[in-house]
Amino acid sequence: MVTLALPKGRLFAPVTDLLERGGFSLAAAVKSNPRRLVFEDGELRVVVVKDADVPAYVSQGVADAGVVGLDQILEAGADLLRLRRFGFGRCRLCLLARQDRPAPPLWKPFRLATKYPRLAQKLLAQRGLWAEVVPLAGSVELAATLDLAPLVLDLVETGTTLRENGLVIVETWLEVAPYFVANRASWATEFEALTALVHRLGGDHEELSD
Amino acid sequence: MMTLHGLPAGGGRLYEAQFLGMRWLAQRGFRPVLLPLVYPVDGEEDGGFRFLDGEGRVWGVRADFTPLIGRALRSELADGRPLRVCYAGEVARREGVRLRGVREFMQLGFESFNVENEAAATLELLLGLVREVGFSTQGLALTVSHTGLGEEVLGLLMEEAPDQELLDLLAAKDADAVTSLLGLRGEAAFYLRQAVFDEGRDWVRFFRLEAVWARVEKAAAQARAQGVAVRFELVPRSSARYYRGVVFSLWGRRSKGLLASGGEYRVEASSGAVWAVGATVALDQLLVEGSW
Repeated sequence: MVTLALPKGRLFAPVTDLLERGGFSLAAAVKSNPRRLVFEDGELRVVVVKDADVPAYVSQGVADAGVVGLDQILEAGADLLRLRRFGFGRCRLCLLARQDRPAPPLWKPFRLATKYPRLAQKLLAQRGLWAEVVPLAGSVELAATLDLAPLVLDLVETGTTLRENGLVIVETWLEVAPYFVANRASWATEFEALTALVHRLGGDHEELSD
Repeated sequence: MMTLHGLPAGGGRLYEAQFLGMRWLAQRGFRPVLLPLVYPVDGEEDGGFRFLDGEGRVWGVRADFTPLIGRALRSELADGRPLRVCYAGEVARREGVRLRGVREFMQLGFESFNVENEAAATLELLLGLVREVGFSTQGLALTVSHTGLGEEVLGLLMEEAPDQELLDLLAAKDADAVTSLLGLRGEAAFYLRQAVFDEGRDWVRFFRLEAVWARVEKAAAQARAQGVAVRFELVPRSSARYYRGVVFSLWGRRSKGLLASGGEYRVEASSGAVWAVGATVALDQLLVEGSW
């Protein structure tokens, strides 16, 4: 039996829909018991964890596989196999600033608030930028609104939260998609079960449109 | 449970496995060698810890036996005769990647120098060694690959040389990102995915890699014959950058850990670079796998 780690956050609903469409008998229980964290039906064990914890559970082999966004994969820096990129839940990791004043120049060192300190350092280095990164646990928009930092790095899905908090996109730094990830050892030792699971969950690979 | 000497019970088992393994390898013509635990560092990065002594000199803590052995035997390898050595001892690494976070563990391994095309024989020996130290190889899985295959495949799909980012994506099996970035469709996308996910062998002919594949398959067949499941990896995620040729890793089903790894590589002798092949068992991890 393989163990699948699912994220509690914004991807939970579409991922449980996938479980349901894939015909997994535990899908209904996962959807209807938001406080329960472990489900099992003989062929699959599902553990529900915080989004940011999915990479740790999978890379350490507690779970064989999981579903998690590229933002969390890169922030964790974990050695994970990315077996499938899903078409739902796409968003962007953007540099944001207050709408009511000019964004600070990026060629001088600046303060940057984010929930992704490790990924931010990597993206800054790739762009040759300097910043003092201020790690935050949540509500990152507030950091710009209350002048904790003039710039923030955060996910933008529809842009509604941005507009409601008077922020604008300065630059887009990363396209983020959810992935079906697997533990490297599990891929070798549970190959057939994992391959079957990813096919049942994901359907066909995304194709380029003409 | 503690032993008389205050070690956890597994400690005695670890030393017993080390003794049995070294004796078995010595009986097969491998000369036991001793290597330093700490040594002055001359700039080579091996993933190990660094520290300063009182006079400001930089020292390293042993992180991997293989480069140390190659260095210690540099002049002895110059005459071109095959040389086989074995070793055991502790190593410490800054990051415990693929070992469930373990930074410090005991290695038991062997290396053959001035030999070519011995990857399959090395795998046979490795699996024999695992059994000799008291563990079953049934239920284990091997990943096998050949260095440079990812570069070859990407080189056929794009005009310029592939960069490290693309190779990292392939090592993570992110075929969706690679096909998007390269704009691949049709057969090229299909066979790339087949290679990345090990879902068939037609890609070998499509990318004209039959000669290299024959070497990989020979090693894989050796493992399969001994009851070990084998999976192919287009780009191995190896912590050791020195490999050149067939490379392999042995994984535990219960511990979800890396139990052993090895492969072919080049080492500098005083007469020039020579071929070598070797394998190393992470004894602590093997103990974890066996105790489940």
